[in-house]
Amino acid sequence: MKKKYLAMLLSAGMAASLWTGGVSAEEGADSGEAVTLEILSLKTEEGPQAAFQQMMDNYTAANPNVTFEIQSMSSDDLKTTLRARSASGDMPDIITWMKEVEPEFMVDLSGEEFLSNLNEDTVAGANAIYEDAIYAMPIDNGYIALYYNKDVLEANGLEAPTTLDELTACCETLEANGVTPFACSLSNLSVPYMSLIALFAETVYGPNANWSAERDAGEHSIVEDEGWKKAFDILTDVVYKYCDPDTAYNQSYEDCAALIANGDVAFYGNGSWALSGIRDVNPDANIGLMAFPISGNPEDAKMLCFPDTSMSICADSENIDAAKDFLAYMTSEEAGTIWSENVKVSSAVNGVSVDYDPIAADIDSYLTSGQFTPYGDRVLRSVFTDKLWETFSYYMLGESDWESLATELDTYWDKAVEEEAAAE
Amino acid sequence: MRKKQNTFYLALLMPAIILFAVFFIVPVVQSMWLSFTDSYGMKTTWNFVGWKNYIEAFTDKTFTKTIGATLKYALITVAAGNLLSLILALLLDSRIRCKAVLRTFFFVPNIMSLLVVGYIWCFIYQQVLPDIFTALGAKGIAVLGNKNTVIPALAAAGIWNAAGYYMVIYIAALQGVSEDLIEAARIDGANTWQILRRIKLPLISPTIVTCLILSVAAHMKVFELPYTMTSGGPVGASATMVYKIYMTAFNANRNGYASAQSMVLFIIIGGISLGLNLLMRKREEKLE
Amino acid sequence: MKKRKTILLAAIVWLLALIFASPLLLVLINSFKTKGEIMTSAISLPSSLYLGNFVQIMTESNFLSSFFCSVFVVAVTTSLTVLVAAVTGYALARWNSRLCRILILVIMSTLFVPFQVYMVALIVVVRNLHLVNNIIGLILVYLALGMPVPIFLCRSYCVGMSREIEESAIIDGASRGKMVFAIVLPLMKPILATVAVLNALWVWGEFLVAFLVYGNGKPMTLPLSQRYFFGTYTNQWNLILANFLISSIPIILFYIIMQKHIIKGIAAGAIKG
Repeated sequence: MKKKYLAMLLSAGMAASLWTGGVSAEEGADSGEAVTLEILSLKTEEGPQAAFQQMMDNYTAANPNVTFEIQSMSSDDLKTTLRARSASGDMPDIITWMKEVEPEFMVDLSGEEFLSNLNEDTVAGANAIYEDAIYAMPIDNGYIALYYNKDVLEANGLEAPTTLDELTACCETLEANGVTPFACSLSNLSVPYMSLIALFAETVYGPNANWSAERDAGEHSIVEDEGWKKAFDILTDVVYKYCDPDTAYNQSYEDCAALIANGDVAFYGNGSWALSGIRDVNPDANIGLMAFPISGNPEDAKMLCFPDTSMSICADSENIDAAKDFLAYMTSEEAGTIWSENVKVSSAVNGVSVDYDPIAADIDSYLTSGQFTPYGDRVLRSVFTDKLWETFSYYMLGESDWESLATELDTYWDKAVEEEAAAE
Repeated sequence: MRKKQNTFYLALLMPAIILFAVFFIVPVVQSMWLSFTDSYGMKTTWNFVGWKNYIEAFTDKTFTKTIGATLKYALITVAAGNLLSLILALLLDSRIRCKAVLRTFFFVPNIMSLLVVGYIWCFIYQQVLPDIFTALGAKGIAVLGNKNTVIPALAAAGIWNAAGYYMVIYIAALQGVSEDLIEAARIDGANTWQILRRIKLPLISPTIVTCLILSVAAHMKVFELPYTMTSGGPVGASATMVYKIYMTAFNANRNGYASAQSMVLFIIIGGISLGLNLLMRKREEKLE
Repeated sequence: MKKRKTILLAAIVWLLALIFASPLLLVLINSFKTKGEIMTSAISLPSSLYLGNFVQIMTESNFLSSFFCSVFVVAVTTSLTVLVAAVTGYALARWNSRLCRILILVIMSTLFVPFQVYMVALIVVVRNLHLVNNIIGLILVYLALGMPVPIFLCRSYCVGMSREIEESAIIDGASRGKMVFAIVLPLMKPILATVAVLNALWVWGEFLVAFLVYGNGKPMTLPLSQRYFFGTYTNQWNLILANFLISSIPIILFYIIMQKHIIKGIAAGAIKG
């Protein structure tokens, strides 16, 4: 409570000094005036929370005038929160980037020197949806793919599948041996949703990187697209079919991580963020990572790899310079190493190569052979992905047929295009 | 003198008038207006789109479905809930000991926040029920995961929360029934069942209608239970109207469309309340 | 015969009471278990009286600050609601004017247009007033949303009050303001107590309004902090249930102390409201 008052007094004081035209807030950051940077993060796992804490502590140790206040919440909550706060003119200083935040609320980081510390392609990829502006500063490279427990496969006399038929055969054998093949949560639908994203990235954007542009131009439709149908079908006929639906309704995201870590299941589709949770349960689990097999050809399986966690500065922050300075620190090798080690991901910072996990080798093999695709839900418009998120389970759970689901998705794709055009 | 008096009354009314204007009249009017716009998310500009949002509301299956789910939930909670409350009231109105203690048992769920009620029942359905099934040696089902059982499961939590409230209202009404009347009937040889059917129920029938109206209005607005227990799943089977409006406005960011959905909610609640009110009037006329 | 019937009746009532209490009993027993124990069985009794959950909540969660925040919000909202409802109810009862009839109509319509119908636009209004995440904003919205029934209750109470005392006070030379606050309000005490208790109960447990208007404010109110706690400790039912247990104790005590007013108020509200 006391702290809060202090912060209020300080910000009131700062506002007053701005008003009288005296010291500007910009100078304040450098001249040692106390600054509190508020960060809102969508990283709720323990690993990233610890990494943020370490980075903030190190930064405060070097810059005693800067302190931090960080709050972590689910991406759904962050979306709602940012929306409410942007409207009331009460945005935090720094946020983990979300595509739902309109560009006008973020600072364009183009031309900032510290961006050169980051992998160029990663920065460009993170800002692919913007024209000539950099609102998102990526700090790591993520993926969504299929985790598999090597020990479970071995115990059942199986090898890691490379084709779709091998995958289903694997699942059949496992089921026959009384092992649930897939971990899946149906109470937290983000779990199967992640598998869907990886699947359509492989089936739609893998063969045709320009699919979205061609769809906008009216050359395709989802309802007639085999790739989209295939993604939904694999989700239904493999991921959902081979999970245990009764327990899946009582299981959370954390439970799924525990299932694969403890070898209760063989497969689990999710993103890079799930790894730290798996390692928390069992640091020595013998886990591998592969792209979802989607056909009889192993080379069709391209891993979805993309710039993941990104940082943005809010446009109406009163401490933009201090925030930029902290972001610059986040691009240092020290910070990159902290992040990579705790979060168990590959860093976007040049020169940081942390042996964060044995599965890194699996990812590298996809990257070096060029067998990856960078296009997931991140490059799609949010009006469309909101609808996708709302309705995808209808098909999976047999509530809707392909025709009507895909037609609805098409409608919302067009709606998104239309609304974008209307806004311009 | 008269003028002074009027200024004085006006001064007394001022706070309420301002509050109603700012937090009721303005938003209600704006709500109607927003429902004809494409107001979206953080964007500060919007366009008029005519009836488009309403057309979408009636063609959007994910929304029309919530109307059915909400009505189903309301029907169960109103019918079973009021029946239970009435039974509890009749039992507590009899010559039984420890009335205050018993009343506390039934009423305490009502003073708990609906949010907490949702979480507690989530625990019951996800952790306790599977254990009970195991103890009985049966293979259980995930009640929150089955689209046929999820609404009754939410309704059980809703009834647990609300039963005590309506029970209190029914007790008050039953205490208003004159003892002499009942005594007289008893002397005439009426049994308990006859007294209940012929005397108690007809006399408290206005209260029953009041409770029906109150509980319809309350249960049609359910939000916390799907929010905490199911997030509207599976396949939207437990998404209620208010939950859907919340998601449309604050998650999918579509203010305009959400306002159109709100208007549909208003028409349904208003319609049902009006219907029940008419029913009550008719009954009263009949009695007179 | 009659005695047997009474015993049977009592058995049924107590059985129902047990069923009603069982969810809370489950909360009680499970908040003394470790996470592992709940995983093994959620229906067994705890093997020992494990207090670690409560210790962790007291040290890690912001239970105390949320508790005091809720107490503050309830105290301010309820006092203001009682005050506004009392003077408005009084004026509506005594002043026969067109304005009053309009106001009564408006209040009637609030009963038919629930908050959920206009919540989207209400949040837009609150935002335009820059009251989002602001505790004053939350209190004002609670005040506005909670007023209608209290105003009706106060109005009908005043209608039943004799005017003689007021008139004699005026003749004695008291000002109108003094007359209302020194004489009329004290006379309304019974109904005001009822109104206050009901309003306090509602504000204490209210979630949706707080979430939308004050979702990111600090310190959080108790329901908000419970939601936040649930989100942070997903799956750690031992902590979540222990948290529910300690945050329910104050309100249960409040009920036990105030039950007369609560029971009376609900009945009055239903019949007149």
